Amino acid sequence: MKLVPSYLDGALLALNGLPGTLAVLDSHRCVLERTWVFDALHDWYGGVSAGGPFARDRRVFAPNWAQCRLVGGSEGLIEWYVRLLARRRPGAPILLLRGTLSVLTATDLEGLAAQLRAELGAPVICVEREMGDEDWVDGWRRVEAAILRHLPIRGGAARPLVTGYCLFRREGDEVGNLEELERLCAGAGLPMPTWTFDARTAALPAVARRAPRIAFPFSAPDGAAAGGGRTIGVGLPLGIRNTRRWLEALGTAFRRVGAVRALVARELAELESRLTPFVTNALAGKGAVVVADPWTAAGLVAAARELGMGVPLALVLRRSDAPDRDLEAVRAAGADEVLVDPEREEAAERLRVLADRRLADVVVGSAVLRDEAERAGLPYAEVSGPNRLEHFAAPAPYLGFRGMLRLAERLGNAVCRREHLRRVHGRR
Amino acid sequence: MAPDEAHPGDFFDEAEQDAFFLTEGGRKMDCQEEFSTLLHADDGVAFLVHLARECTGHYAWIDSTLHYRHMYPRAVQLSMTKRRRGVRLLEVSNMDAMLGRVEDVGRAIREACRAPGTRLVVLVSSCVAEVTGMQLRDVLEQESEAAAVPAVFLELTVDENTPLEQFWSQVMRLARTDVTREPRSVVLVGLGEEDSPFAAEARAVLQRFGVRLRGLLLPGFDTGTAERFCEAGLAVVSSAEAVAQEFRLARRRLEPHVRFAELDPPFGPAGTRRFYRRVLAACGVRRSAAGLAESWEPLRADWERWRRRASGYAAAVVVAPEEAEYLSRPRRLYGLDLVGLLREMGFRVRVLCTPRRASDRAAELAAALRVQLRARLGPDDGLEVAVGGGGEGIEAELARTDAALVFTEYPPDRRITGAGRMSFHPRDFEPGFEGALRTLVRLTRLAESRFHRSCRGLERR
Repeated sequence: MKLVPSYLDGALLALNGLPGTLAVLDSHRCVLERTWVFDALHDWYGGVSAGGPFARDRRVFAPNWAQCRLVGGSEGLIEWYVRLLARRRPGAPILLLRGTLSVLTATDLEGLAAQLRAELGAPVICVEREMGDEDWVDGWRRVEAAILRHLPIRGGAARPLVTGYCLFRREGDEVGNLEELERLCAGAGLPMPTWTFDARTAALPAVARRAPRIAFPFSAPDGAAAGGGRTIGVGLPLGIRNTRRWLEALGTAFRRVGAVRALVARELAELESRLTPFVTNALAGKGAVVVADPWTAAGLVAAARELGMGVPLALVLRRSDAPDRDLEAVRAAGADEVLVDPEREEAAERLRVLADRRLADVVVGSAVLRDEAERAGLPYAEVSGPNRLEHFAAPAPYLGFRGMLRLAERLGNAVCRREHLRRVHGRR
Repeated sequence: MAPDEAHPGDFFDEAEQDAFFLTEGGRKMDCQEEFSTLLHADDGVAFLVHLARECTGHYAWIDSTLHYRHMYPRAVQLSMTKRRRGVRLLEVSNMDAMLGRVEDVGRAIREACRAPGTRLVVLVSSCVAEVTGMQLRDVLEQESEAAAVPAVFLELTVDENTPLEQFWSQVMRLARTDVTREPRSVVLVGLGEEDSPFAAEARAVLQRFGVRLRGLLLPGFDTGTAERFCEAGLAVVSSAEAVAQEFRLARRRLEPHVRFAELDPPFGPAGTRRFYRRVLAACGVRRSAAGLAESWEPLRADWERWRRRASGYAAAVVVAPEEAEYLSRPRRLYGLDLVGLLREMGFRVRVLCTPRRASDRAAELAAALRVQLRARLGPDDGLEVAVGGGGEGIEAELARTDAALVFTEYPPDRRITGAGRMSFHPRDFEPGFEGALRTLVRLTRLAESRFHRSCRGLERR
């Protein structure tokens, strides 16, 4: 059984970051359960399926397919939903998304979107999909690409636009990341960017003409820049060195090199004094297994190694035939072994062996292996997505310098508790 | 929904704005229930699913049945207990789907048939196979017949979901009929799962009278319990409509071999006593009152203490004309006599009859419901049936009521929390004596919670 989340998981993740946007899935109605699962398990603050009455605050719809409609095409049903949503929420963007069957039956969503856009004057946006095998990263990227093509362009000051930044949910960990990165930007006098998918504003952000684009790694490398400005490529600021590099890249781009240098020096001095007890008392010499998308995985491997830990295994949630460039970062990050597109059974066996040999002490990353890790006696720190059992109300970042502190706390406490249970209570 | 918005298909899964009960369609959905039962089954079931990776079945990585599902027609949720090695997902690649490849499916079935301990192979076919015309049923029949292993083919596809009653009929073919009956033994159907607190209680209570509980089926499934089903002296099926319907065909198949009794499920102390008494009577135990009182005795003082606390609060139920049957005929609502149980717990009850359409006659509904409830529950000062849903909307009405609790089948329900009230749901009700006490404690704690009121400054100073 593959562990990598699907295209629709990625598309819903992107939709979750756009709270004012609606979607019609060209797929069977049971796929709506994915949205319920999304809200019930993954994001307690999520609004994809709408909380509360399953009524008019819904954001995601899917037609009730039947064989006869598959033969005749589902365009008519999709159109009915779009007209309904356009009446209910005038002006709200409406995404048309493809399920697997939509790919097989080749519904003309693009034509429908163009026709309804012209007729209704509503932003009806078709999200591309080429084949059934696409995974969550593809789904997220497809939504981002579609949204970027339709962002309103305005005049005025060119505030930088962030692309390729995946907000995994609206809880304290992910929102804490945004706050931490904005704190660092403010601390270095960098321009405050506009985040495309930050779940904080209902309307799509307007982009200034020629606005520079801060390109995080989640978006496709050849993604188009809305507004037509220059592109500043940055990595994910996960870990000490990655955060420093992220700040330096922005400092160079926005001519704040000196301010960035001063900020980094201040932050690192404080960071070291706070982190040292965690490193020396709990983490140094321990092993962490990492499970995540390629970029979060690369960051987690780097962060774990900075904390003195080894990473015997990194499991990468990306389909096996993904472009090599998507996997470069995680392969270079320093894990002993990298397994792309893992099968659950294989991953479970690897965890069991690593736990038995005491080469791993904790698993960090997406919750897709949570049950298997618990069975192997390994504690878990849920980072990125999908999440399952850990939720955050207060800011609990894992990006930036404060994110490194919080990550060390979580890993340190997990490792110490396991050690305690093992030594005092004789548990595995 | 306005008339000009009529949905062009046969089903539109959006509830009415003021609905607090599930829609009829939502209550009757019948595909993921089979999935959750099979995920929870023992290792005797080799469970294969042919699906695309975005199929909801793929959430099996969560390795439990919690997520099946948010609006779940069954009242009983299966536990998280790991009872099986897992499920084999035959994930369809783009190329396999296009070419209609079934070789991997055949191989997986052969392996499943050969695995030690396999008593039944279940293959679930999903939408992709249906649309691309893969003949998976034929593949299953061919392979399982060659291996002489019973097999069940389930369609959970575009518009061909195998009805739940057929599912149970098929899996219960495992039941052996050439067996010796154990007269003083019982199997429970539709009353929870094998490792539930109620099962433990029922086992102990019945044992006091020399009656053995052999097992529980539905929503859980166990191949051993199914195989030995006909050894039971009595099979008790819950009278809840959803359960009776789900097990109807299996019961018809097994009726010549087992004695069946259909009983109201054991909710609340009185309902539980009645349930045990009837089970025992059907097993030939005539004098059970004193023994059952002894079973309740250790909980009685706690029950009274919590009941006194509950009596300080009211619970509201908002009901539209077409939903009135859920209150007047508890079998329609999982066998929960909602008003009767709340009153038994000591809560005052406010039933708000709300019109949905201009043609709805809420006053007539309220009058009729008042008569029906009083006929069943007797005259009662703690029960008020009123007309609600005026022009100001249901949220305002909820904010005005003195009820601390409001019933909903749409949790988390912002209409209720927005009004500063707490919601409760059918799954808050647990069967059995101990379940009754836990239900009372839970609902009282919810009623006493000041969370939403505190946050909204609605606390009395």
